[in-house]
Amino acid sequence: MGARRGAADTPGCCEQAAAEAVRAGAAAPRPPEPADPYDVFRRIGRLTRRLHDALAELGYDRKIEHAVGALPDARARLSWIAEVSGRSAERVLAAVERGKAKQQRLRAEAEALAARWGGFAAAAPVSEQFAALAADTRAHLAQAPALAAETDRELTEIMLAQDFHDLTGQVLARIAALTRELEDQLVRLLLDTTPPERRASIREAGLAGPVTDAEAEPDALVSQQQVDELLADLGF
Amino acid sequence: MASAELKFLIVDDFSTMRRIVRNLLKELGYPNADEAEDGRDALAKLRSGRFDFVVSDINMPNMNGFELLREIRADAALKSLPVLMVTAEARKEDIIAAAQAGASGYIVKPFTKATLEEKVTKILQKMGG
Repeated sequence: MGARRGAADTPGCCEQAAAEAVRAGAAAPRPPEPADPYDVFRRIGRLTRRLHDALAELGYDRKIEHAVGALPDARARLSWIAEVSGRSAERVLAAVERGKAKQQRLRAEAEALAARWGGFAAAAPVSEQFAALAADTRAHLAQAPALAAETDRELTEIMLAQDFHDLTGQVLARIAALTRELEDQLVRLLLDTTPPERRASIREAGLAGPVTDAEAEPDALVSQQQVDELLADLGF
Repeated sequence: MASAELKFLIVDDFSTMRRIVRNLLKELGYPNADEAEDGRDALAKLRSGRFDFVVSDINMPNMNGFELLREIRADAALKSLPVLMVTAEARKEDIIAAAQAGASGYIVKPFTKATLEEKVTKILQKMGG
């Protein structure tokens, strides 16, 4: 028990204790030299068993079990980040497409109107006020296509910036694959250091549902409609 | 063939990237495009319809861009199809492997509209010449 208490107090001491346990195994009275060369595998097996026992005694099994339980949740959170950022990027792209179409229309209409103003000559003398207004309108229409083109270039920039979803998504996918591999390794290590009667519960723990999964969290509200319904039920 | 008539196939597992490339191609005067989400999907579309140009990612599930490229180059009906790789894989060995597998061009993400225009134009000029 002293070893267990020490493990909680001082990081790194568990490794030391485990190493001592292994050394103790190595220092134990040696069996006679094996006549069978394959006996070395049996000896390695015994040594591994001692190491497993030491890990369990030091509480490593619980730490590993905890880590195994946390990994699916971490992976689900990564997947949630990818999903939410993907949805946002799609929304931005849809808005950019609508914006570009409107800019194109503005540009075409301004050009057409500018052409009409270009050929317009008032039949009768006009007031000074009207002449000034007409001049300002012509000036605006003359620069409108260039402004629309500039806005369109900015929209293209916004569109291209949405490539972050692809770039970050690939990194997230790799991290998720890495955690899956790590989880598999840890589950195997845990099963090796756990008595057979407890192994079933560890397998279940390894498949624990994510907290970002709405099905795993019945209290989670996933849509605005659900939130509104809840608020309406509460009288708001 | 006029640019508006050229049919592009955009292959990428990320819908956002397909949409970006599709919009850029449209702005560059190539409005005729279809999409595929991985190499397998792309190959099925290429074999069942007429396409003039493929823009493909590399890192995809089911069939990646390298595998797709090899399938295209090994298919008598598709082997002369231009394939532009657009990918985040910027390692030297990937670029060399793509060139050896018969890629017509290679663009590293993130990229600009000007880069896409330059590569597509260059490939089409080579085909025409």
